[in-house]
Amino acid sequence: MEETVRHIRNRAQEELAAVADMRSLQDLRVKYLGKKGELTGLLKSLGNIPPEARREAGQLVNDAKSWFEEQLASAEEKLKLAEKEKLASARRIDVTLPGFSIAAGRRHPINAVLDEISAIFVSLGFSVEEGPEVEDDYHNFEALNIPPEHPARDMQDTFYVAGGAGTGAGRLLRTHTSPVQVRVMEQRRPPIRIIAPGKVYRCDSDQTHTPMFHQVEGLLVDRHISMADLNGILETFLHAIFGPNTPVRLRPSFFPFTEPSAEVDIGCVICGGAGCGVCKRTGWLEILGAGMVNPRVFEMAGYDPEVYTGFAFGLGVERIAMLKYGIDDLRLFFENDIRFLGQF
Amino acid sequence: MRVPVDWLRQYVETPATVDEISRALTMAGLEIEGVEALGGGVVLEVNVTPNRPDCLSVFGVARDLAAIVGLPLKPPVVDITDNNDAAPVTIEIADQGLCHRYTARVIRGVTIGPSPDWLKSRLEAVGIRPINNIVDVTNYVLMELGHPLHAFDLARIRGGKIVVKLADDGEAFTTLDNVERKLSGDMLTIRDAEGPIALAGVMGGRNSEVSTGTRDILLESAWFFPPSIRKTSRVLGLRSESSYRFERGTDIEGLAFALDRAAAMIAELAGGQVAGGKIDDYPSKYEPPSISLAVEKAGRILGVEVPAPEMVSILRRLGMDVEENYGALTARPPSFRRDIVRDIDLIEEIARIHGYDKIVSKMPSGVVPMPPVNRGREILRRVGQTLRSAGFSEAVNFSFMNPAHMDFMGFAADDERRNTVLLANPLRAEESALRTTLVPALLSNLAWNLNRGSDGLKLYEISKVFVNIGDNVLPDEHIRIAAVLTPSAAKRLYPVPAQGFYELKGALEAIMRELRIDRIGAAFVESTAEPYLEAGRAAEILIGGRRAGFIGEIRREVLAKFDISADSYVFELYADVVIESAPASIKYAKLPKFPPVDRDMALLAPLNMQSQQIIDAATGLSNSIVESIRVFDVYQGKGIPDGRKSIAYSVRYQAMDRTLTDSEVDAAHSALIGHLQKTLGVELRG
Repeated sequence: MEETVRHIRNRAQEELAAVADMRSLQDLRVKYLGKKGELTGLLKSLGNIPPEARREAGQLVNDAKSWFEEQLASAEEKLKLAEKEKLASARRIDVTLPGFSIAAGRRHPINAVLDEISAIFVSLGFSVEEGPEVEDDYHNFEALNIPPEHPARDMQDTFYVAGGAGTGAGRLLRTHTSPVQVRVMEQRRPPIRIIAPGKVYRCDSDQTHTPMFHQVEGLLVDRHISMADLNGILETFLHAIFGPNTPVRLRPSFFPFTEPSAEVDIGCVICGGAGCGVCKRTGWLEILGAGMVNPRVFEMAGYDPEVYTGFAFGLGVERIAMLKYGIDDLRLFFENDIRFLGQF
Repeated sequence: MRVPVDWLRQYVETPATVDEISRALTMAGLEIEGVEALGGGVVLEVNVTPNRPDCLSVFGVARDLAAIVGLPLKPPVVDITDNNDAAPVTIEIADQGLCHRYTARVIRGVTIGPSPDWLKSRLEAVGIRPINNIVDVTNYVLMELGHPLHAFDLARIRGGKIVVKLADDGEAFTTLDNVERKLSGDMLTIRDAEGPIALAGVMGGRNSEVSTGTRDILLESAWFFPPSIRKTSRVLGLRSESSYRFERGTDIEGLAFALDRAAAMIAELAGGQVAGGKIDDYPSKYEPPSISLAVEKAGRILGVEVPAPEMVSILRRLGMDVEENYGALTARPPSFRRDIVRDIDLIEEIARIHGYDKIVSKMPSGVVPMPPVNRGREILRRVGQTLRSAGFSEAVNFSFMNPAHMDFMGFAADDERRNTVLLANPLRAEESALRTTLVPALLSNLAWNLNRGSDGLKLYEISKVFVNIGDNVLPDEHIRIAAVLTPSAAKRLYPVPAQGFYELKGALEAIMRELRIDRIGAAFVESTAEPYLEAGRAAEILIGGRRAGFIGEIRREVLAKFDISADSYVFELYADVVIESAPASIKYAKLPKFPPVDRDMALLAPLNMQSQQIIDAATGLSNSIVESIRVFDVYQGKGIPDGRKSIAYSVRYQAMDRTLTDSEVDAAHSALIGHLQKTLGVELRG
């Protein structure tokens, strides 16, 4: 009996080693362990041997059965794994192939910067206002304390609109976004916190000037507003745009609609203040104009300058975009070359 | 304004270096824009703002520098003796509103010749070409003291008489530059007994010019009303160093000193003798304003406390008479500071000398105003975002338009877009009108990019257009949303012509979905109204029945004008209609509790039938359980009879109150097909 069992075990082991799929594994199971299987048959034949040897023989056959069941289970495990691997390999893809192109378009860099500027001021409680781009002389000049024949008109080369009452007296392309502050003050009472982004026009075209460009005007009017508040808002803004360690300085200047007026400089972002071609070796870059709203402007808007004070500022968007992105040619902004636009 | 540093140091003896001087001036409002080494010395380029004509001279800059650094000022010394001789000419100021003071001196027996080298080199350092000793002295004093002077040849003044008077309208006059000019009645002239001899404050006349034979000089130093000088100079297109200063305002009190300084220098350098009897007609005597300033107000505006004694010191250094009592200052500014009129002007002076760097930084307190939300801006932001997601990059073009492009586009004579706003002074004829449509600029962008090897282009722009509605009112300004596309080799959606049309239309529909405009009904109606669009490949866009723009393929002839060889598609959408149509709020619709059933149908339709006609007929069926119907395929060719095409639709059936049974859906589907067959004559594809 012992001999028979060993023989069956050896054969079963050999046959199991040759099994390559589930089906033959199943066949093998039936062959040895099925109702008519060889080991099952042996167990049934135990009745034919003497009772005293029966127990030992039974033990032998049962051991062989459980051994083979284990062998089968582990073989099945291996087979399942192999089949899974085979399946996976058939479904395998090349993960290094480039993804399908979802060619998202880009925001124009000027508007990207405008968005960034607007978001900063909106977070500081400013609302975004708009106004006409073709303006009248009153809103573009007179209401901003620039009367006719004032030398300050030389500061801005103006495009005038043909036709209408007298040349120059009537319609023009706004030279700055400042008329929006006039229009807002005509319609609202303080407190006012607005910015007015938009296109402006000057009759000038060369390497460093385009006849159309973009500005953001800002105006804050309330009781008890001082130059320290102007300083605080502009410093916060410039640190948000150019980084928290950017030096900011105000120096006296002149704009007819603000007094005191200031030019606001930042430490040169190109050379870090050491002096380079971009900052004309001064270490400083002029970045925006600002000042306390001139009482005359308040008077024209019908605000009492003894009650209300405020500040205004204006900045050029192209200049900030050029500094931020390192763009060296202003004209690139308006060529709309997709190789340029695609970079932002 | 060019300021040689050694010349500057003549009036302020400062040990400061050039860099220190530059910084002090810059931080007090006289920005040094450049520093130039010149002949062993240094010249500062000072940016003088229009409010500071008092700094349009070397002495003027020195005067401000002395106040800034707190050093004494040393004016030039003039040695001249007056006597009581009768004046050789008489003066009459006829238009006293335009000339508040007129002074003159006579220098006899001069010899015209070259100036000494030191004078020539100083003039050259400030950018003035030396001419002869008389002209050079007037220019030297102009640059030194900032007051314009004019020298006449006394022998050529007819009738021994000077009259300051407006020109006769239409009068001809030849200025020093040898140009004959036609004067108008609002131009101020200096005249003798017979006619004009100078354009006041702007330029002298040929007829009274100093020449090599001149022996006796009449030297003029006057004050003219700034706007009048500016207007004359602007209208005649004649700018001079004199007009530049007069139009900004000169020092009415200081002009006599400039006259004496120049007279003494001419006597010294041209060998003449200053005649006695200075002429000084001063009908409108200058009275400085008396300005009071509450000390606390300065602190309130500046956000920094400047002690009252410091304020007084600053204002006195700037040449003002200052009194202080009970927390208020009263200041009387000097005659060269006509820009100082109100208390805010004093505050600015205090701030600029005290130093802007002393102003602290804080955040404003108070209530944050909450004005109405700018809804249009927000909607356009989403439109741009949607277009970018669809692959369109944003273009920004100038607002100008080439009027010739109106013909390129084929606009009819009465097309509203021909009502352009025209510029009176354009830089170029191609930029002489404002845009009434964004399309031409975007076509130019296509051409630019195609010429540089880019293709499969998708560009959009959201900008204003301008329509002239009358010469004396501001034009209508409307925002347009426009996009252009040249088709890429991208996958074909339907095997139909004009792929680009559908690619572009898809972007437009995405915008409508984003803004929920699809819910109020957007329609595309075939149209030939846009002259630049191909007939049969163009549609008018309707939103809620309102005209909202056009979409279509650009005509070949138009593309050729813009030098474009690729098929191009465009839409232009009226932003105001879009903004007004976009629902302001969203109301949720209950979700169906029962499952939908989908059935497809392929219909044979005549070639010219539009897919939308079938959808319209289907949705027009009453008591229907059709929830939606959409096209998923269009086919013509093999297996389809000639003159027909197959349009395949997917129909979704849905009931809100029950689960639909198969037989119910089958009945509804056959009813639908039967209805379409009957009303449209389409057939079910076998």
